[in-house]
Amino acid sequence: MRDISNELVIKAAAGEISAFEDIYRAASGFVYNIALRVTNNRSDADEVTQDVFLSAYNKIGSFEFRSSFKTWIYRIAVNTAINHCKRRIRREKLITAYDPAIHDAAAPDKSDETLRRQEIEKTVVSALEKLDPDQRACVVLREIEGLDYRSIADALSVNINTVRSRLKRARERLLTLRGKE
Amino acid sequence: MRCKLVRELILTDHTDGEMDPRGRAEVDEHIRSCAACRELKSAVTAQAVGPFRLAPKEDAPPYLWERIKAKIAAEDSLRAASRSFFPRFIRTVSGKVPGLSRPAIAFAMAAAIIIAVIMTRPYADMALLDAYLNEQVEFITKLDIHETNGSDIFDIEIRTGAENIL
Repeated sequence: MRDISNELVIKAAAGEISAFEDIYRAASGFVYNIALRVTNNRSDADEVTQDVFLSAYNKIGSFEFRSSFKTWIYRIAVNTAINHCKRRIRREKLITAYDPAIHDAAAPDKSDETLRRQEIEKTVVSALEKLDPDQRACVVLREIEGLDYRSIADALSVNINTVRSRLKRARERLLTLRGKE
Repeated sequence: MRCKLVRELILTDHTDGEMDPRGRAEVDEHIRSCAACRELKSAVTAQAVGPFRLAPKEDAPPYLWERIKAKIAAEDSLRAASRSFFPRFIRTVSGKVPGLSRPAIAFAMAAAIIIAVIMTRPYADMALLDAYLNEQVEFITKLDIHETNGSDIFDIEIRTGAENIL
């Protein structure tokens, strides 16, 4: 995520939509990727991303600069994505398995590079499907976003040992299920 | 260093670069000398970590900002309309019906709005509906005189109920 200055945050909190758009441009990439990988579904990722930025717009006036703005956005993004996942599971909808129509919509050609990317995408989606939302969030923040344990703990508002425990269980699960394939 | 501890570290801190240099060196030494731990390290790297590190990062679709901007504009319009309409309406009704208190009017209006919204306005997004309803109920109930510091209702700054969602 590009740096977001305190001045930009203050302007957005005062209601300047252009300042909030600058914040969106800087943060939308990582918010969307978190939403996509935690929900493991593109239409859910769209919905979660919208919810995150609407929530950020409504709450930005109460942001007090006690944490970094990036951590604050991470927290909203991860919690929104996890809650969305859990609501979906409670409604007993099927988590979308790898669906070429959804994941490969923009790749009509079949060059070697495209096929390689599709294969990687398929592996990632399939692996994430095996994890519960809390484990998935930890893996996404660690492996895809590259956060350290302390930053993950801050984003999820849990202690560092909980992060360690979730990562361990996620990896054990992946190894166990892979061994059965 | 015992295998049980090393296995724990392979699944967590050693793989994620969270160990200090001395601890990391001890684990590396153990892995070099233990086939089982070496196999575990290889499996974790290939199956549990490697695939994610190759995952491509994507930009948010271009249409998302337009949708967000439209929703912000819609919510801002609703707030502006609420602030001008309800204070005048409550003052008028309480003036014409002696003995009818403003809190009673406020709660009756809140109930009527909830019923009207549920019956007439389909929302695809229940979170948006919750935010809208919370905002209206909170705003209307805070119009009660004891919530204000003065008699001018337009001095009140009302925070939206959408803040309470997360």
